[in-house]
Amino acid sequence: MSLKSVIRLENVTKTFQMGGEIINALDDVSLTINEGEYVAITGPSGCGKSTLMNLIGLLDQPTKGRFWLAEQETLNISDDDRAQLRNQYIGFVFQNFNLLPRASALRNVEMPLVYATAYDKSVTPLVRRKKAEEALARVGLTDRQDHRPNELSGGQRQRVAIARALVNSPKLILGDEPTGNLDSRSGKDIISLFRALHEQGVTIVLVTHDPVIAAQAPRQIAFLDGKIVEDHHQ
Amino acid sequence: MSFREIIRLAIEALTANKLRSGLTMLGLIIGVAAVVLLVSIGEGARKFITKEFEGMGTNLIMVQPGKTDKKQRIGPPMGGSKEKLTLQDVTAIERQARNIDAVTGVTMGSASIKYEGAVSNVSVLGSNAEFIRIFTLKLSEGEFFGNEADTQGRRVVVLGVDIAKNLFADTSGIGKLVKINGSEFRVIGVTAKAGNSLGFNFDEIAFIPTQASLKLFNEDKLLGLRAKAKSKASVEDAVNEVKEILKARHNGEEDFTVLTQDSMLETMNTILGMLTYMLGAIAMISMLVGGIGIMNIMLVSVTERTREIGIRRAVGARQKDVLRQFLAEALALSLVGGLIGLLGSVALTYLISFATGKFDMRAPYWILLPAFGISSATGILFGVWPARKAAKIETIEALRFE
Repeated sequence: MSLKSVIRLENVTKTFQMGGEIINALDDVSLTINEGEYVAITGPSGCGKSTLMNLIGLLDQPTKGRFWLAEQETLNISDDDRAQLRNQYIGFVFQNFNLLPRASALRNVEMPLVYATAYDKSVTPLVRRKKAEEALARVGLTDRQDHRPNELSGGQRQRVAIARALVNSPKLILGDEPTGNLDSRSGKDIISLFRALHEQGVTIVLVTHDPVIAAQAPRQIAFLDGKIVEDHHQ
Repeated sequence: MSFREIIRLAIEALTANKLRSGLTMLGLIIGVAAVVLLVSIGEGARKFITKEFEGMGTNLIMVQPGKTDKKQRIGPPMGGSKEKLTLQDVTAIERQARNIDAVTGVTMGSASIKYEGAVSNVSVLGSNAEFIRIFTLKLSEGEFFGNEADTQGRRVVVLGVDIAKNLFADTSGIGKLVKINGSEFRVIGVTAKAGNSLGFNFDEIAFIPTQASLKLFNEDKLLGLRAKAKSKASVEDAVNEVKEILKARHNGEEDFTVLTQDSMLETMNTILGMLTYMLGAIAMISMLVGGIGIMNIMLVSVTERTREIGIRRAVGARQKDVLRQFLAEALALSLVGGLIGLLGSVALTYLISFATGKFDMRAPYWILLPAFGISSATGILFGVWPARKAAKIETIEALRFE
């Protein structure tokens, strides 16, 4: 049985121009992550791991090379198609939570489903609410669903963000330093949530520079100067 | 994103910043109100003038000496041309025209009028006995002169009520002798108060028979003829008749102009209608200003919410979803603003109309739809650019935005 790849990069290069100097944020990177993997990407800041996350999350495009998401070539697809893939296949968890300050936890979690209606008419407001409530229950925040982000602690906010990431049942959850703004106890809670999701079959890719968190992941990839310097399976 | 969700987001965004939304709307409220109010004033003026015009007498036909193109002139051309209209023309119409109910020649001049110590400078209007019927003139005292007084050239005068008051104070002037430019006239009547009508005030005019007036001013030609058709339906026939009769008398030449109340009213209506449209167009400038206000606040809003846009794009919003969201906000601003402006200004026109009683400036129905339509269009027009700007923001940049 061959494993399906969720992420496949082939000779991907991403260059930025900074004050006349051309910087290779990613330098000829090839990488495959299969369904159900739990991967931690580590490296010092500026090593290209955030750039990699943006590419994988279809927020950015490579300068050179090819990239398949869920075995679908993404090189020449339209902006709308990228939006659809983000909506249907990917859940994002950011370091700074990126919740809408004016909306309640429930409304924040509902948001991806609001855009999912375009592809699946069965996602009615009622279905949306039910799914959002379920997602909040999975992160243990049922009693906080009407609170706004500023009424929640950092750990709770990140749990809302995770609920938002998983509400549309994505294949892949991307975490960009998800514990970076949290104290160690909240950070542990968040990591155990990721592990639980992994056990349920969701592919998880985390970017972190915390070696303790990286050590939890079955596969660790270390970056330096835009290149993979270590790819380690436990 | 469903239509319902778009509306919901727009309302949420507007209520989140009530003061700002209110002030932005105010621009458009004023714009819509200005259009409705100015158009209502224009329409009110038109109605008012039409009423005044009709008050001058019904089925009125005017004949002026000299040929003019009535399309290019407002009101009756003034006398003084070398072409003449004479008392014989009046008599001819009187005898031959079958669709004419009454006809009179008119003269006009200014004169001083004296009684004992009191002197007034007034307009003296010469006419025959029919004048009172043609112009539905009402008397408060005495009577208007009859036809024999005119043909016999008798010197009698009917005074406008203001002149009578000036000369005789509160006593009756009937039967008294007054001197008009030195000639003695006997006062036989005083008009009832009529007030100003299109700059023409019967209260300040002295009416004398035509013969006496021609003699008084040493003239042989008339200022013009005034006639009344038998009915509204026969006005056109009457005009043709008058033309035929006068042409026959003037060697087949049409050296005169026939105007009807309708044709003058039509000219007047055209002019006032144009004025109304012009006022509306000027008011539209304020709508433009309101629209720019919306655009301004939408641009601010887009910048402020760059991060929100980034988050929405990351979870799957397409460019068109973002565009729709911001366009809906601009549209909601303009729709609500337009509606408030419309209701407020319409209510105001009704209030003013009832308060003044005389000046009916109630908003005409035909303005409601365009005023509302234009305000909504303003919202779309000025909302498109900020919304497009929002849609084009790069997602990564937006997510990093502080």
